[in-house]
Amino acid sequence: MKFSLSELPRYIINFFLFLWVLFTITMFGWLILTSFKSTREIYQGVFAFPNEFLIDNYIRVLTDFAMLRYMFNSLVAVLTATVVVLIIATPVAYVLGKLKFFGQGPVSFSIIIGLGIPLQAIFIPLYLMMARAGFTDSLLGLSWLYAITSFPFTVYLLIGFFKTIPSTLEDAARVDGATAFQSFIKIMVPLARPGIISAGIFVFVMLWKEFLLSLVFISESSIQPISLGLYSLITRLTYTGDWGGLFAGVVLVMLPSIVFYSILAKRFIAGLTVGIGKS
Amino acid sequence: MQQNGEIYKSRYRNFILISIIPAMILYIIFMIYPIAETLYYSLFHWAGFSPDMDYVGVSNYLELTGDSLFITTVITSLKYVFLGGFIILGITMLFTYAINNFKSERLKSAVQMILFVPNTISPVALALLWGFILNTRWGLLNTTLSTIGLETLTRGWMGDDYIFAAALSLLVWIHVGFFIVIFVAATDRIPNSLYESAELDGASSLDKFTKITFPLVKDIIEVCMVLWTIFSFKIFGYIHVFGAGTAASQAHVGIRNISVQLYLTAFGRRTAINRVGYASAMAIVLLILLAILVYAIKKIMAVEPVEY
Repeated sequence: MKFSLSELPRYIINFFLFLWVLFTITMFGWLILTSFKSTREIYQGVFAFPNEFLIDNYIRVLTDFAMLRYMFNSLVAVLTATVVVLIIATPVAYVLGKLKFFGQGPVSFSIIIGLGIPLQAIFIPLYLMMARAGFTDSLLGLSWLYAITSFPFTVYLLIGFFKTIPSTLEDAARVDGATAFQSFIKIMVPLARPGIISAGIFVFVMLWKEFLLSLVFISESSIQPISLGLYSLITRLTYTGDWGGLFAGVVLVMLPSIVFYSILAKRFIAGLTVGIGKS
Repeated sequence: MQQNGEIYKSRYRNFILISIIPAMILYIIFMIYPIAETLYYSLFHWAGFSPDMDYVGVSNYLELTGDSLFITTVITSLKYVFLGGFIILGITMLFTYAINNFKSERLKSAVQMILFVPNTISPVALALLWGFILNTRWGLLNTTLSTIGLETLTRGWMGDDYIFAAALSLLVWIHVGFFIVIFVAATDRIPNSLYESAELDGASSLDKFTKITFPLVKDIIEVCMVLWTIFSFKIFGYIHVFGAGTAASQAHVGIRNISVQLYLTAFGRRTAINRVGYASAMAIVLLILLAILVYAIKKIMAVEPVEY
């Protein structure tokens, strides 16, 4: 392309955008590299390539510091919550997106409100409620809270998908005498499957990194999910000055998210921007 | 479809009732009703789980107005909203302008995907990573500065003077990636024909951005302002963990927002809840501030949804 002065601002912004991307990549690279160093090597120089790739940090963090256990806890809680919220939210989204009924306005409105409610505004009563029912310090209780707090956003995402599905097939099914329930299960759900999967991925990744709910509702170490587990490592590892271990812990927490996200990034972003893009 | 016919009604009525009612009851019990409960608790002196629940009217709120630590956290929260919002949305718009001019679709989506990555990662891990970068002794920033001969610029980034900027920079880095995805999707829906005719008139890429793109995504800018306001009030993990590994066991006062202060008041000590009433009052203040700001944004922006 020919250089022209009026395009100068764009070149400058491009340059900064390039730096930003470079910075982001470098940082994750540096993090991973450093996680293979001993703490003494970290003090000696942060740029140096590790003398030898030590996996001691990883072994120590996974076994002595129970990181494997935390990952398993997260997997159980997050998978359960994702399945539960999809089961509850899919029919609601279908009804709100495709049908009309008395009271639709208030129902939609309450879900929109739910998108903006900060957890901090409700976690005190929730804590008291769950504690009375014996569901604090319980993975089941945490899964349920994960599911219900993801409900408004999941409904919002799925409404967008249902709206893009034409009603013609469903009309045909009605003429053939299918009940509403049959046409939902046999026609709408299969048609909306890409959308349901996108929403599920989104919810999974968002819950995998969740921190506040687990911090409030889980104190017993053996059932902590991964973010909370890493948090409890901080005090122990910095006390002993085990920076290498902490680097490895951070990598272990990030890695599943990054791997999962990079495989499914397109779907992930499609999920986020449904309702904005070209229709 | 004849949506108001008798057949339609009888066909769907049961299905609608079964799918909506149980879900909404659970949703109301666990997410809507607790707001009312929080409001109710805020009128009491109460330690939680104890029968001693003294009705004190608005005295918790009056105490908040004289609690200088709380006032500081309110101001800090507002700094995150306004300063953070200005920086984040500003950078996002500049980057969107650059990304829109990429010729290659693959490059376009690759850049977005890389910038979005921090949004998928645990706040605890990101706060620690930022602490590693800014570590005074062996952090990436200070070592880079000394290596390239700018030793005079090295600082104790996690100290009182810089801690707010340090925390804010983390939030900017994370959220620019989020809003770019929204902005690029919004600008993608603008028909190409508009740009083509502007090109014929000899418009530069900057003209096209300011005269076509910007006015047509005003509704999305409003959405993003509202989203950022909500996000920044909710932000907890990044701030709560940031610095925890280097200095104090609790978040530094200079970066604490209402949400962290509220957590520390209600659950801070690992024993039972201490000051349920007082913490509930903080939660109500948080909600009211949030509602006022969102309302103000809607009023000030007052944009009609864009039609194509």
